[in-house]
Amino acid sequence: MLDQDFIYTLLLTGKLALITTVILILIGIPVAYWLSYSRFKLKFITETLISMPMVLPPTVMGYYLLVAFSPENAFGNFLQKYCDVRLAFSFQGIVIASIIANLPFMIQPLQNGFSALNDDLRQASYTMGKSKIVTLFKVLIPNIKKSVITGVALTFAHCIGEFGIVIMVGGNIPKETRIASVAIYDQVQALNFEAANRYAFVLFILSFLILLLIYSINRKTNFTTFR
Amino acid sequence: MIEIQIRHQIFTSSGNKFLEVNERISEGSFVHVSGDSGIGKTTFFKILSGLIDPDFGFIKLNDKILLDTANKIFLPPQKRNISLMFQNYALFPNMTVKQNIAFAQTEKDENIVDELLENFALKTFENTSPSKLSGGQQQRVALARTLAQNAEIVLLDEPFSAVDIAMRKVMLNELLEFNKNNNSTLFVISHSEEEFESFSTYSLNII
Repeated sequence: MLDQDFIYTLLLTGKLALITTVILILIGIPVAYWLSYSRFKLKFITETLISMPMVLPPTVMGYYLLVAFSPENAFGNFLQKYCDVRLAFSFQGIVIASIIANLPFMIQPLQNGFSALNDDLRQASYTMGKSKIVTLFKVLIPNIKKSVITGVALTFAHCIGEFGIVIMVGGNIPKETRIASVAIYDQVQALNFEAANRYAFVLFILSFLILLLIYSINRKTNFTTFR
Repeated sequence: MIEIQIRHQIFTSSGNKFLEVNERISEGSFVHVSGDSGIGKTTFFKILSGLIDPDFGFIKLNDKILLDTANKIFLPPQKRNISLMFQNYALFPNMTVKQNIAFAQTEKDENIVDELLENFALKTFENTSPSKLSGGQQQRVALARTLAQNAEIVLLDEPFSAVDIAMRKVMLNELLEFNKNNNSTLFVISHSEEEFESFSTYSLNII
C-alpha cells in the first residue's frame, strides 16, 4: 500500500513538473523575446513582476492565490459558476501556482540567452527577408540552445522541489495534490522517517542529475561568441 | 534611379555628429563609399537596409518609396530587397557554410549555391560550421551569402579586409560579374581608394 502511494506521489510530482515546464516554455519564449528586444520603457515593471517569485516567500504567493481561487471571491466564484472549474485544493490549481512560481526560472535564462546573442544575427536574417517568426525559430532559438536547456532543467528541478506554494494552494490530498516534497513533510510529521527518506533520496538524486546536466552543457564551448 | 536623403544624429567618442547624405544614383552603379573611421558609413548602410530608422530620411528606389520620415513611411528590412554584408560577417553559427548561403535565397536554387561555393573556393568547407573557418574564409562565406540573396541593392561593409591579394581579385571579379549580370546596385565601403578606383562608377564620400 505504501509502495503504491509512493509511486503515485512520484508520478504526480513528475506530471506537475512536466506540465509546468511545457506550458512555461510556450509562455517563456515569447515573453523572453519581448523583454530582450522591445524598447517599451516600462518593461522593467514586467521584469520585476516575473522575478517576484525568487524573493517572495512561497507561502505569501500561495496565500494570495488561495484567496483568489476561493469560490468566496470573485475570480474563484466566476470560474466555479461559469466554467465549472475549482482551482483551490485541486491539481489544476497547483499547476497554475507552479507556473507562476517558476516563471523566473524559465524566462531569465532565455532572456539572458537572447541578450547575449550578437544582434547582427537577427538583423542579418531580417535583411534576407526572413520574418520575425522564421528568424526566431531558424536563427535565434538554435543559437541559444544552452539557455533553453538551462531554463527547462531549472524549471523542472525547481518544480519537483516546490513545497510552500503547493501546500498553500493544494493542501495534501493523496493522488490529487500530494507531491513528493509535501509527502516528505507529511511523513516526518507522522515520524515515519523511513518513507520520508525514500522520497528525499529520489528528490536528491533527481536534483543532482539535473544540475549535473546543466553544468556539463555549460562547460562546452559557446559557439555564439565567435567573430 | 535611387534617391537618398538622410540626416541622422550619431553619437561618437568625439561627440555628437550629423550623418548627412543627399545623392541620386543610377541603378546598376558600383558605388564606392568612403569616409573617415567613425563618420557613420556602417550607420548609413543600416539606414538604407531598414535596420535603423533615421531622424530624417527619404529613400526611393525607382517608384518604390522605402523610407519617408515626413509621411511616416518605413518599409521594414524584410520588404526592401536590400542585402547587407556585415563588417563582422554575422554568419549563423547553427548552420553550415552551405546552409548559411542557402538561407539567404528567397527562391531556393541549389545550383546557384553550388556555383557560389565553387567560385569562392568554399566547396571543401560546405558542411563545416563557420566557427571553424579562418577570418578570410568567413569573409568569403559572408560575401557569397550576400550575393545569393540576389537583391536589387547590395551593401558590402569592408568586404575584402581579411582576404589575401589573390582571393581579393577573385572576389572582385565575382562582384563585377554579379553587378553586370543582375543590374544590382553595389555600395562598397572600403578604405582603399585604389582598389575600386577603376571599377566604381560612383564615388560617395561621407564627411
